[in-house]
Amino acid sequence: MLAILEAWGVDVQRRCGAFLRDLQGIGEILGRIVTSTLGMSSGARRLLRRHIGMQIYFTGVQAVPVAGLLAFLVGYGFGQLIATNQIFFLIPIFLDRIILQNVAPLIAAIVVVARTSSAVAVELGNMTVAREVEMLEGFGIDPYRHLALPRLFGIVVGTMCLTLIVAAIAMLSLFSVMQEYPQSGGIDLLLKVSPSTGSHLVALGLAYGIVIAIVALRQGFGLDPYFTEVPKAASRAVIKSIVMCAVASALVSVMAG
Amino acid sequence: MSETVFTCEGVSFQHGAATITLPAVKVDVGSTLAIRFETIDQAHLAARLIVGFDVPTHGTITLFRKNTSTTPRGDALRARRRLGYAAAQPAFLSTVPLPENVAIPLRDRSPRGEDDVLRESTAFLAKLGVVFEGRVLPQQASPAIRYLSGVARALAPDPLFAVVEEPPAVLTAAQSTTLRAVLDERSRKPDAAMILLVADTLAGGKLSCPCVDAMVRHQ
Repeated sequence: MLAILEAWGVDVQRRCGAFLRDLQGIGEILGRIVTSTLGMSSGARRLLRRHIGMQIYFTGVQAVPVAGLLAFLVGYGFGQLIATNQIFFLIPIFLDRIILQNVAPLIAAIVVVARTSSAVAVELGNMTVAREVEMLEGFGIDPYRHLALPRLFGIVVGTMCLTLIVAAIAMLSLFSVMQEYPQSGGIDLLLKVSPSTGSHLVALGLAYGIVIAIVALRQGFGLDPYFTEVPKAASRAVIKSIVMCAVASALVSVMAG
Repeated sequence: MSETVFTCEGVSFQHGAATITLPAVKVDVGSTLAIRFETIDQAHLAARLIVGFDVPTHGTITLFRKNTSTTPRGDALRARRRLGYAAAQPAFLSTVPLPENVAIPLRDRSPRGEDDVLRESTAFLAKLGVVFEGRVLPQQASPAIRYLSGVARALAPDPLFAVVEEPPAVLTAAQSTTLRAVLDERSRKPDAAMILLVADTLAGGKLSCPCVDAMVRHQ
């Protein structure tokens, strides 16, 4: 029993240490991103804009087919549930509170975590191990400006866009099912969305984008320089992103009242 | 009086069982110096110390009059914008074609347009006898081409101070001659400085620059 407690204590201590190191690493990433933007040449700014555009395309546009399919299925599923059970009076709650404010952002976040978070962690991890990051520093190029900043911006903007697209597809999918049932309210159904839902969606997309990007950057830059560490960093990026998204969701809900 | 870009005083480092002591040297603008080592590995470790990637356990290295052991990261990054470092086995961004890799420092330091920067990088590569046809990624190129591309990347922006490692034995005789000509041309520039870290005779025997030996003590 004592041995178990001792092992548990050691594990807790190790995890606390890792958590503190993560916090320190995140602070370093944000600090270095901010300082790295000072005194950029026009060539560097041009390159930065191109990289941000590419990251937005990868995160927000290329993910639309998968995220859109999931959104369509969710909207369709809820529509069938409502229609089968004749619970049309619950449409505002299903549409506004469940689909738009929770499920749609969650779908977008899961897709971004699965596609982008692991990809960024692997890419940056491989670059760290192959000394590509060090090479940039050797030429006086800050890797946090060249590699981290475009990914941070791209993921945040891409996640926000994807959240809105997923919400729209889910809503239209539900609407397409409800069209066959006049008692559902027809086009008035779309008017049942509360005005605060839009800001809630943007806030959640923003929060998810920030935590996913920061976790992926931290895992990519912060690994020990061995190739065997790269897949571990990728899986840590996925798990920690999901956990941090749940925390971010709770925080946004609390702040929204 | 010309500006001193690099000094080294009492620096020693460990490489396996050997302790390598760098000679006390001072490199001013307008001068070129070669330091000869027993092996290319030793030359590479010394290059890492000079560039500031590693800090010496003993002694002091100054780069642009700043101690590399105590310079904050931001200042070191700014200082390296005046530096060109060509490693024996250079790292490249693996998803970017080699000519664009060569253009990275030039693009970052120059306000010129993308086409101008690429044209200048390609011209410098051609000077070293490297011509690419189509999209060539770093991993698709031979070690010799990678090395020469690394030299082009370091020297194309015309840095104030260049650190060039001797290539591993991968260059053909023609490539070596071309490289020597480019390095000779660079060493004659009055407004630039260069250190060659060699283990063979590339610089020490055939280049017209002073060459000093690093002291190696085997345990």
